[in-house]
Amino acid sequence: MVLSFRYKDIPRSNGTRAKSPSIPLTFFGNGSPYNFTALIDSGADVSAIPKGVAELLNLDFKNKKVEKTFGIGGVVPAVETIIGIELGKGHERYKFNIPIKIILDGSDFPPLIGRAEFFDKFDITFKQSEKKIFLKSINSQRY
Amino acid sequence: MTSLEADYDFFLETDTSEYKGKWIAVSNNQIIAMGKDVKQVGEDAKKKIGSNKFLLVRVPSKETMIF
Repeated sequence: MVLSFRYKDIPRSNGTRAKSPSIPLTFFGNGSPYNFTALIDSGADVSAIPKGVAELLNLDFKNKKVEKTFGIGGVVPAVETIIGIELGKGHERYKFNIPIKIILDGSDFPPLIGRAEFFDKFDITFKQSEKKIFLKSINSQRY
Repeated sequence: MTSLEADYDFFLETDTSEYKGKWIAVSNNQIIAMGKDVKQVGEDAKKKIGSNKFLLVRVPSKETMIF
C-alpha cells in the first residue's frame, strides 16, 4: 500500500509560492500523545523537534548529555532521544520508534522527519508537480 | 477519514497566513488555539476541547526555509 499526502502551498514574501512536503502524524512521549504536522526532510540525518514540543510531550531530556548538532543555520545544542510516532490513513497505520534530536537553543521550527529509521521503513517519492508525497512501506508490513 | 486526516485537510485548505510564524491547534474544522509557545498552545487546546484530538501546526513564515 502507498500512503499519499498533499503538500501545503505557502505564499512567500517575494510573491512566489513554496510547496511544503508535510505529513500529519502522532508523537508519543511520556504523557498524552499529540498530533502534529511534520516536514519530511530528506537532507536531515535524523529527525528534530524544538524544545517546546519535547516539553509538551513530557519527554525526559533534561538529564541527557547535550551535544553539538550541525545544520545549515550553524551549531546548536541538542540532546538525542527516542520517540514513538504513528502515521497512516484509514486502516493503514504504522507505529514505530525513531531517534530524534531535541534542539535546545530556543529556535522554533516545525517537527522535521529526517532519514534515520523513517527512511528505512518507507520508499518516499516527492512529486512536487502533483503537490504530493508518497510513502510506500518497504516491508509491506505494519510496524 | 480519521479526525487527524480531517484536521490536516482543513489546514491544507485554509488560508493560515494571518498566523505565520505561530503555532495553531486545529480541531473539527476550527482553529481552537494559537500562539508562539507550542506547549501553551497544546495545553490551551486540550483545556478547550477536553481531549488531545487536535492537530498542532507551526504555520510557516513567508521567508524561505532552509534547514
